[in-house]
Amino acid sequence: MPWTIQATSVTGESHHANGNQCQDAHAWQEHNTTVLTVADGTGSAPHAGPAATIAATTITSLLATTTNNDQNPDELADAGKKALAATRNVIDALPSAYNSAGTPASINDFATTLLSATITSTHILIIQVGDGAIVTMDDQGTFSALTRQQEREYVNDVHCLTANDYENHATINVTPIDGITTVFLMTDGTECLGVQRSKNTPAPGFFQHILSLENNDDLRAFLTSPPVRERTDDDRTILIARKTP
Amino acid sequence: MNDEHYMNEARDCPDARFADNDSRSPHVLLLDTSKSVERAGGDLNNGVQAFARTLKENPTASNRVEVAIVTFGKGGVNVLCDFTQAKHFTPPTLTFGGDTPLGQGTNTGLDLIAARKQLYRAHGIDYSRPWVTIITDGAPTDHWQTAAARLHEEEAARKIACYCVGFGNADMNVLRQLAPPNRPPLMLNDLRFEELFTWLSKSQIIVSAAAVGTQQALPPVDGWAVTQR
Repeated sequence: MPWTIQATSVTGESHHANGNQCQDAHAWQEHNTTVLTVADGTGSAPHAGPAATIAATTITSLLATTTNNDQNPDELADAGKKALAATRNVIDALPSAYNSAGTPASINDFATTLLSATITSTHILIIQVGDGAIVTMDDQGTFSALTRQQEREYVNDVHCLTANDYENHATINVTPIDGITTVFLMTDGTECLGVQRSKNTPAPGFFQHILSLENNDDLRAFLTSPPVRERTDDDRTILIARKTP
Repeated sequence: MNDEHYMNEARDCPDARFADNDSRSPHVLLLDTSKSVERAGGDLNNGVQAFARTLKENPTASNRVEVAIVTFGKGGVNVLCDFTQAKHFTPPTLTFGGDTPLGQGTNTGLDLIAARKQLYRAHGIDYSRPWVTIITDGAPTDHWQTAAARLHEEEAARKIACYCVGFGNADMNVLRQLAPPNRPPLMLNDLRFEELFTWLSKSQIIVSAAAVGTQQALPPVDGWAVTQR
């Protein structure tokens, strides 16, 4: 396979304190292309965790089957748009399913962000709804953010896939893969550690440190270490795809 | 500690493994310190101490939350404590006397918040929606209606989130007009200030933490609030 993938999600201390499980999710699939996804169930939406998992796995499986290495950027973007709409349709069906099972639910109970990267042999398709970040490292060791910061006044306001106007806040971009050797996807609990929001610039020290960690145990130990917990008590997810030599 | 110093505090001691992101959650306590509050003064002071203590116990909130205290009563309206990071916040002891210039106090609190937001923007610091908590035991003795209109407008525009709490002989009819329509005032059960302030700090910790999307589930208010009146 062209990419080696590593991923972890840790429960934030604020979620522990409220008796909640981790509401972040991550998924990946390698078929013709490599699809990487993270999602963050937002705030206190009661079914945010399942929503994040369903959104991440749905869009990942859709993109894995609808994208290939022969598509041009317009075709990739179209596949992305359709996969996003279909994922929203799946989320839309959840309230009635929960209601029929005796659990009252409305669409806002399934609030989640969604961030996905599909890597072909020539391009990366980026799908972004809400916060979180996708950062790349090239063969010169330079880090770049492929995602944008949300336009919002308050740091804890977030656009969700469940919003009526989610399409107005969704970003679908295709960028050339040239020189990229590593792709990082992260939810906002990790983004705040590694990307300076005011300038949308990656902090090289953070990603270099992440790459120096040998395995998932070390990665989880770092993400739960005191310097990290002083900076955030949110759920933290990072997915790392390294180009196989 | 002046603002310029502590705005740059994190940057003076950077950890190269992390991005330089600062985030703040401002909270103004608007407290009635008129003569009639004196009998409950000990409980009110203990409540503010509980607020400070609970915030300090949370590593993230102690860095993010900033507290300001505006009093209305003895000496008129007084900014007793300008915005201070929770980890450095040591509540001054409240003293009591005078009338109840609630309208002027409200305007002063809202002006503090507006100025704080400008400072955040100037330093590239993210912030969450500011909170204003008004606690009073009486009827205002100044013109409060204009302040109420401003409060309503700023709440409706999501510039602030305002909570009004009455205690003792509070004029709840006035508080119902002062408080934002979407968040009616609550009456404090007896003098359960410590429970009220503990609720405030725990709620502030929630809103200063993770992204909240469209919902914020705060802890229940029963225990400190009279829920049927």
